[in-house]
Amino acid sequence: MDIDLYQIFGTSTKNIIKEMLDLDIKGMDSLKEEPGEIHSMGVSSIITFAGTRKGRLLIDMEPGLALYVANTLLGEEYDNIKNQMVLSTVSEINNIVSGDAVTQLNNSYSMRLRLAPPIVFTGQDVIISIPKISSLSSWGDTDYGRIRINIAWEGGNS
Amino acid sequence: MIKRILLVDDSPIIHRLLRKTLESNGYEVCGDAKNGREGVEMYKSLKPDLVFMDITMPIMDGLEAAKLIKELDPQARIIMLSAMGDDEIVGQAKELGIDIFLKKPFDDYKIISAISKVI
Repeated sequence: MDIDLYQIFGTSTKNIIKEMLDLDIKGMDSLKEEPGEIHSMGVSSIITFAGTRKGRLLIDMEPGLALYVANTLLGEEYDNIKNQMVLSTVSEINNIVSGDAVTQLNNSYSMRLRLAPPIVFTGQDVIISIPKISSLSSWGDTDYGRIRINIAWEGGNS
Repeated sequence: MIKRILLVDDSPIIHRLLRKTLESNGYEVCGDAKNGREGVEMYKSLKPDLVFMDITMPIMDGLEAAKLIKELDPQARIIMLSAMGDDEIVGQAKELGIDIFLKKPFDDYKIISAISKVI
């Protein structure tokens, strides 16, 4: 079960991005432990979830990918990642990815997880400090920039 | 007569995408609520033909809001549109008398097909 708690988010990320944007993510097949600090690549969104366990998903995109996602989904031509609609789009992508993964975990393991509303922030190389919780990251590449997901569960990785 | 639809979702993206789909298919979006509490208040004042309701929202979630709307108006037509869709949540929605439960993401066909079954 425990590896499923992490891998399922990579699968959901790839599937949802493909379904919503017809965009392939290459890679995102392995997980690597992160230290306490994560350096944002451009636009980052975090969603927490709680049930029989507590955890969170961080989705981090390079600026070019965040702009592509917003422009493609909304049919607009935003050129600034600080635009509220760009930030909201990345948040909503995280919400849908988390919802998809958590739905599967709930149905498979009766974890009764519920999502909290997402938070989002922007700024290249901003340090996201999440002490006391070890986490695993997975990276993927698209034609428009890199994407990283970072998953943490209270209680650790084992 | 044009059917009037109330949208309840905390994401401005979902409001924009749904509005585009609905208006291009001949429906009127009569209100945009950002959370469940706003949704209940707008339902009382706008009396829409149909509500699209998210679940995960600040202040009041969609299941609580749907319950209050159903208490006010047992004939209210509500379509849940949520990123979550596990067996327990879908079961809770059924118990509340929700007409249809849709899981995000969505496309025009999914939305319009659901509406045609409800109103």
